[in-house]
Amino acid sequence: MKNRIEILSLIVGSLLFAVVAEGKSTHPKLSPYLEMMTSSNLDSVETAKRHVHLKTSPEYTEPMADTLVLFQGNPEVLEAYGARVRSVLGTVATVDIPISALRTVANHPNVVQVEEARKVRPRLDVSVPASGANSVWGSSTRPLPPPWTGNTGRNVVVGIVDTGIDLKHADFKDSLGKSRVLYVWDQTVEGTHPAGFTYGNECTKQQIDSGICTEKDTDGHGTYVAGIAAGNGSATGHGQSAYRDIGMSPEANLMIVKSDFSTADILDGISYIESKAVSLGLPVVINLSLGGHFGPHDGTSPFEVGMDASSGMGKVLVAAAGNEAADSIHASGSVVNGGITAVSFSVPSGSDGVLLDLWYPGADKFGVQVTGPSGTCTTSGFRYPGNANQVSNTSCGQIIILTPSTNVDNGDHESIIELQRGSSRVMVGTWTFTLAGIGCGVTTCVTDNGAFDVWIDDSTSSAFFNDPHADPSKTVNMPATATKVIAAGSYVTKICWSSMKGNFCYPHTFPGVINDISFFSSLGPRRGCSNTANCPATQKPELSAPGQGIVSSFSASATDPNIKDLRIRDPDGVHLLAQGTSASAPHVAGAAALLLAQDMTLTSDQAKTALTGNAKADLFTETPSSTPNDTWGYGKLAVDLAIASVRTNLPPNPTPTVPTGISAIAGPGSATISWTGITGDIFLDGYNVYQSTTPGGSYTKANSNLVSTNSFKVTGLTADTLYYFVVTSEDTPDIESGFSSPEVTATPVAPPPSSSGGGCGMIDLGQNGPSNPAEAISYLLTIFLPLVLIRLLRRRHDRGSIDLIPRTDSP
Amino acid sequence: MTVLNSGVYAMGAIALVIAACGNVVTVFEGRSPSPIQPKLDPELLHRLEGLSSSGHMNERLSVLIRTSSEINSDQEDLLKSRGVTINSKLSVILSAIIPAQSIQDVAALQFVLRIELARKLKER
Repeated sequence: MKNRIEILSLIVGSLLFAVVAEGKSTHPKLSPYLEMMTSSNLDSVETAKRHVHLKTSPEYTEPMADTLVLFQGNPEVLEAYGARVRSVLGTVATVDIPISALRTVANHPNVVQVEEARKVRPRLDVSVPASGANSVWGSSTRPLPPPWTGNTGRNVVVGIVDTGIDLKHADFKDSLGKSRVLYVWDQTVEGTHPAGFTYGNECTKQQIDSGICTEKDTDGHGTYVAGIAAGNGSATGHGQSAYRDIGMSPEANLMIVKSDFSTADILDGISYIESKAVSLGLPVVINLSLGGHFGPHDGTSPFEVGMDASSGMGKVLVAAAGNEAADSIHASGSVVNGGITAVSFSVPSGSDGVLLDLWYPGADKFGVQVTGPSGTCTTSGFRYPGNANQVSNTSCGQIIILTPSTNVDNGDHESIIELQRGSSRVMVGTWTFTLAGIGCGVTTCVTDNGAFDVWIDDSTSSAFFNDPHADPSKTVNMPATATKVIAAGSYVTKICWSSMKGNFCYPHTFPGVINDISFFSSLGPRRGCSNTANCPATQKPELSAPGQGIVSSFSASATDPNIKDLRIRDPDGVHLLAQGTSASAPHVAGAAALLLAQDMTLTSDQAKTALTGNAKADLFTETPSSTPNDTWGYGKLAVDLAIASVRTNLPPNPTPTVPTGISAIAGPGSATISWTGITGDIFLDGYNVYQSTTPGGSYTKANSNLVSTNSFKVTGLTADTLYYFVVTSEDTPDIESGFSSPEVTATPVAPPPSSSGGGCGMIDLGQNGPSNPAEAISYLLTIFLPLVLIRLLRRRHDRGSIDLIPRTDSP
Repeated sequence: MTVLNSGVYAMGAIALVIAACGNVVTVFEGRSPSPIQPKLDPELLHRLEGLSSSGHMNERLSVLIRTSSEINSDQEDLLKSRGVTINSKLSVILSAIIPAQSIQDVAALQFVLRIELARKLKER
């Protein structure tokens, strides 16, 4: 997520003034509700209080109205009237005004207009409709609670490789309270390894449902991402209504890999999820809200190629484009033959591991030399491709230069510069690396175009390039650069939100214009390479999706104080607001899940074509050039249009198993039906028992709720009547098996007299005994703890006491 | 997965002490390139240098291996015989754990085209 802490400043944009309150104000500068607050009519004041946020504080002698003031001149003059100017943006200020001073403040010549701050709802209820998802769920223009009759991602697996998930979060449970998460693989702990892997701990759905899976999302990122892709919005609290924050594919199945973000482990996670989905016969989309800048950025690295290998029919990968458009982590330029190019970069404090990865055409050969701040600590000579590694321990820190020979994958040259803490810390300041187009001996150094690209690996430092070489282009990170992966950029759908601490908007330092690209959204294009066959021209990013001001599921286990900040926590307490292409990617992943729910045979290329070919264009996306472009890709996500473009080839519903081993034991006015429990059906929700008084049909369901155990007592039956029973099993989502066969029968005996009920130590065996009351009858009861069978003897005239005799014969 | 500390490669190294702009600069230069070096990611090579100098060549490294085609059972056996633990096979890409001392032997296999040290990514 992007710079979470930055958004906490309280600056309010003038856009809110576009909202006009209902009613008429008699004061020309006060909004109607603020006008009502000053009324002597108590009813009016009470009405206004429902709309005006009143702030109380030990610092305030009376309640203050939370307002926006449009002003001219200096707004701080209002503080003479007891007002508190909180922040100023252009000609708009957020001001707390004493109720008693509202009219006085409004009358001030510097004040143009005063309006109450209003609650806004920036969450998935904005971004999801903007992406067109809810219109395919079978609901109208806004997210609506279930039941959904349309396409909600049923029978598709959404895989999330991230920081884990809050398994107890209701957004990931079905209507029966069972988890929608089929598997969790926690790669960060040791335990039961998944089959074929040598590390981590796997939890099955059975373990998840029984509450014994120990996985927790202490970061919160993975839970947030999963909520956007596939949360069902059922979680809520603090009196808020549920189903306000529904994810893109709210009935998809989930598989979660909690990763340490190593490239190898991420590929393992993808392999794991896909093999599980294949074993269930379900299509899968995997979301990767992660990335890095250490690598060629051209689709040829083993990591990127592994991504492509994981894509195919019914297998779609989506990745965050990255949040580095404004971070100056990329630089570009050129070296002329016989010339030298110096590139400067800044190392802020606390950087003990700066890594720069330089790439240029294989036909060129550059020498590389590094100089520390103020021209000190220059490394010895230039290092050329094929030279041995150079490690220099300097007073500016340890400087490592790696200049391998030509890269076998892309035919390019790579040079790596690492600054590490050696005997000295990495010196803070402006560093320079120099690229030399001289010194290649008899060989000409620059025979291609001399162009280079270099990235700072932002996973280890916050160093950045300086002008003139800093370049926001080519900042799409890996693995989003992989050819078959869909890279998602971010655009703005909301800039203000309500939270547990009040209403907030993005500060002016975190700009955002509704419908425009997010300032941080990484830009294309993908870097080209010398072996062009391995790095075909591919549009990056492919799509843009909502990624700024998105409210989604909050992990209760999160420990990061930033993510726990109540100013970004939804009033319901179980969702939070964040931003970044991490939020955009799951919008696209959820959209891909809806596509696969429509046509499970789509290949990743076909899914990409459906999404990009139906992306929305508007004035924003066509700037600065028409789509596709390096900012927006093909445009804004519009999954409703994409779905309309594909054929129907639905993934299979689960196939519940017909229960076997059915038996029936008659009781007084009842019959207990038992069966063999089904194992191996991951989607099993429970069982239904049906009864009839005629053989072979006209069954009525005997249970009102699904039976979760392997037996059920049917009550309210007529004595001495022959009943027929069958059992079914039911899978998520509401798919029922056929009836068990053959039917089993039982003839209930008469229930006890009306005084039945029994007391302490008494078991009432019924009022209508056998036809010959002198005959002792036997009952069989199965007592589960301890597991013994006993025979109950009923004697003539003996309804109040019985003998319990351990049964020695076989039942 | 364990991330190993890098160190300074000593095998065949030349130590130079020069004066540059008034600062003492110690330079260690690694050994000359070998025929299999192009198959090794430079960061992996550098890591091996560090492990060698610190005597930790028995450390196991998490890597990605690119092969010329999907490996067959014989090739898989060849990898296993060199101590390779394969976690995932994604067409021509293997996710694997390799003892550091076996890297050179694995890289020498003809069907192995590239070995890259696993890298850390970050949340976006």
